[in-house]
Amino acid sequence: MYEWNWYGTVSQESAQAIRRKYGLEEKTILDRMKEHWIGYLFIIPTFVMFTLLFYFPIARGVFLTFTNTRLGGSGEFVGLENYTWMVTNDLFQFAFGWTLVFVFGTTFLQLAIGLLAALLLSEVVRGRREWLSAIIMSPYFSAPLAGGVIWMWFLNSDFGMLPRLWVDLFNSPAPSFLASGVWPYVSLIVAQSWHDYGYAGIIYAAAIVGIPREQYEAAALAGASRLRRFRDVTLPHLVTPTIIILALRTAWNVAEFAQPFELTGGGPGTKTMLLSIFTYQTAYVNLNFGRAYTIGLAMVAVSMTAAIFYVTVIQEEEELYV
Amino acid sequence: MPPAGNHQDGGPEQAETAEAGETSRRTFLKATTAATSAGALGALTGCLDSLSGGGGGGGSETTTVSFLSAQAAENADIQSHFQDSMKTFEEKNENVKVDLQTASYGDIKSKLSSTVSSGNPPAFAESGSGGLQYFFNDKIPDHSKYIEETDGMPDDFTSANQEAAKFRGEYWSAGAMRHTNSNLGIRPKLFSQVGVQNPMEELSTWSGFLDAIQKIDQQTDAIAYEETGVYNDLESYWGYARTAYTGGTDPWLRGDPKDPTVVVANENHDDQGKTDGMIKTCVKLADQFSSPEAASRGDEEIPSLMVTGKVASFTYATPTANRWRAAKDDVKIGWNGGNGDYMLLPNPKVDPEFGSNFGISELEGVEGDHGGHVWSLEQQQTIFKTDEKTQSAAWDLNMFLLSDEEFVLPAWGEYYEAIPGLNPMMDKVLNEYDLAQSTTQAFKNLDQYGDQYASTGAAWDVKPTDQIRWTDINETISQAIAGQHNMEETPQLVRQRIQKTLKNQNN
Repeated sequence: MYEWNWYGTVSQESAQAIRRKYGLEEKTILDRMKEHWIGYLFIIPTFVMFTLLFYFPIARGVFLTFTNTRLGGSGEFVGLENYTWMVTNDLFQFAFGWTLVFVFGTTFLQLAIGLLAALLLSEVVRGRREWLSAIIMSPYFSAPLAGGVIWMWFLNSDFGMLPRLWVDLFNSPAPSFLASGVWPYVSLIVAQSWHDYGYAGIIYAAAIVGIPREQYEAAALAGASRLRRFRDVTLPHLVTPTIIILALRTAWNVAEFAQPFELTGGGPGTKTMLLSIFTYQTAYVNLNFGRAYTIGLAMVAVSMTAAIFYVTVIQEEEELYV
Repeated sequence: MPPAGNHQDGGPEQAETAEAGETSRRTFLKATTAATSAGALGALTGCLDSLSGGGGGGGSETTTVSFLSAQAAENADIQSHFQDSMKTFEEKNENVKVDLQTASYGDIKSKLSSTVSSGNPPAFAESGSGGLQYFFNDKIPDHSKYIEETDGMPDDFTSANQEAAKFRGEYWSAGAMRHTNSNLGIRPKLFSQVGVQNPMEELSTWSGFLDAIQKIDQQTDAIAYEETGVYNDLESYWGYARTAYTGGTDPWLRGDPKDPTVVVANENHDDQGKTDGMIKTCVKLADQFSSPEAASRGDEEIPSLMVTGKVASFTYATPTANRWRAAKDDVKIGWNGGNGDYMLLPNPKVDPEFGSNFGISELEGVEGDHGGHVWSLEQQQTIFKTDEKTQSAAWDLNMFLLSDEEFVLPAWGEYYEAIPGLNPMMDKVLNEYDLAQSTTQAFKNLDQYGDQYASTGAAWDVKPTDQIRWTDINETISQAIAGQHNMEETPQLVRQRIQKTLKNQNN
């Protein structure tokens, strides 16, 4: 049927004969296009729109990082100058570190609260569950800017509810939640987690509803406690949703701008400067679009690295359950 | 081991034959649908294209001026006045239509950026200082010919407009339709409580003002002085930085715009102490008398804090009384026998004792004048490059906004109290309306101490004026207020950042 050569591998000629026999010949792109031309025709509109609205801006953005483009101009090629500026800029270094803390703090808090909300909902009888879902998930559907205003009034030292509550409870002056010590950092993370935990909640709730009841019944019959059933039945079903939530929320939290900007604007001073706010400031205050795009690429790199990390680590974890 | 085949029986030939046999109605239907989809997309693109580009065709003589304005979005009253006024302008200028678009001052730069990038800029826009970049990038024509061909121009421009509209001898903009200026704002109730009886006299110097706020700090729960210390609201500092000087001397940059002398932290400059001293004054005032939020405090928050007695003074006071009425309907503006809610005064001037009184050695023996910042660069309006007819119509619209009494008087006397962009209109507004004390005094300050009231950054004529003003100066001071570095090192940090920016961007 086929011949083995000196090196113990199938010879080139016989391999081709096998491919021919089973219809596995190498095909050129042109061959494939001819064969599936109808399919290609169908995707042309989408491809054109994606290219115009998505791929082209990305490619142009990457190109701009090598230029000194400013507002309204095309700029000249400056090589790696923007990257050198970025990595040696004190504020970028700070914003990069704080963005990582903000993103991971927010993402994991959103995950934890979302899971808690989903578990709570799974315990509620139908009818009430829908109403409770709507209430629990409502922050997610509010505009981030509106969320910022809500938290601003909640935390405001002069008129806010929390400082007044603090004074009543502890009988001491409330800290300035958006200005003093570590409070602005905590406030930003909590406010952002509040706004977006609903996303994790929705996905987790869908995953929990899909878990076969029989598995819980079998575990209960085997004498598993509630905690054990959660660990051995519920959790394994939540691994894939967790990867999805982690990857997406990380990317979105890296790009989060409206609510933090509304709450602190990167201040006091530049104490809570996130990469997203720094990008805005570089583009629209300093009018330097080449540099702003370069910071934007650093944000993309953070999101992609995190996504790859999650998928790799959690896939290994998932295999433990297989 | 042989590789596993994908086709099970009959091999590929048979499969191909079967596929070929199916090229019938179904395949035809698929192909037709796909082609129709692609065609529809193409048609849609063509349709959109014709919609966007259709305005200029049709053989009509009508010229449409698209006008992007932030001022028109400032409040509901002024928005309505703008809309009505555009109709008035159309009536006065046959065959010209105005397409008014609005964006807030926070959004206008990004909106303008996207329209310019897409090759569809408005004909006329309040581009602010961003317009200077468009001018460098050849998106804006030299406005000189329009200015020179118009009676009374550029002499009728306010001095702030004359400074701001020109860059190294060329007119890159058509002026600003209005200005506001920064002044000292106080709450009379709190100042009278600590014994001030004649604020105009007693708070005219920094020593007098310092004495009063020290008493307020000690005797009341109010914030004696609140710095609007978020970087994009530190124009308060820009204003009083001038009060260590006389005769309109610029505290930061002087000399040849291509290679300016940086006064800040310049050991070889006679005026270093005045400039550095006022930077330190800003940080120290915030540290001693302001709330912990000072480094992130915006000016919008002050009216509600002041009318409720939480803040006693600030230096971002503008002529616009409507902002105070929005915070409290029956707000008492003016001294009112020491019972007012809010009053506007000239910024205090530096007196020879202030340095030693406040512990700023650089200011010992220094004597300055009243002074403030005039917003002008931020409001500059520009004509974008298009056909000559549209540019000319846009200039007509500009002059309407600057000089037509039907627009100017209600706009700056009633709906949004501000200083008109042309000098002759200032008296007309003052004569026509019974203005609040804050507005009248702001007008008077500009008139009386004119030299010292200037638009920060306009006279520098350097390319990166925005980065120097907002980031190198303001952000660095804001960081100091937030405690990110100390007061003593702040002037040197400002200097380093300005020099770096000039080196990289002022070529």
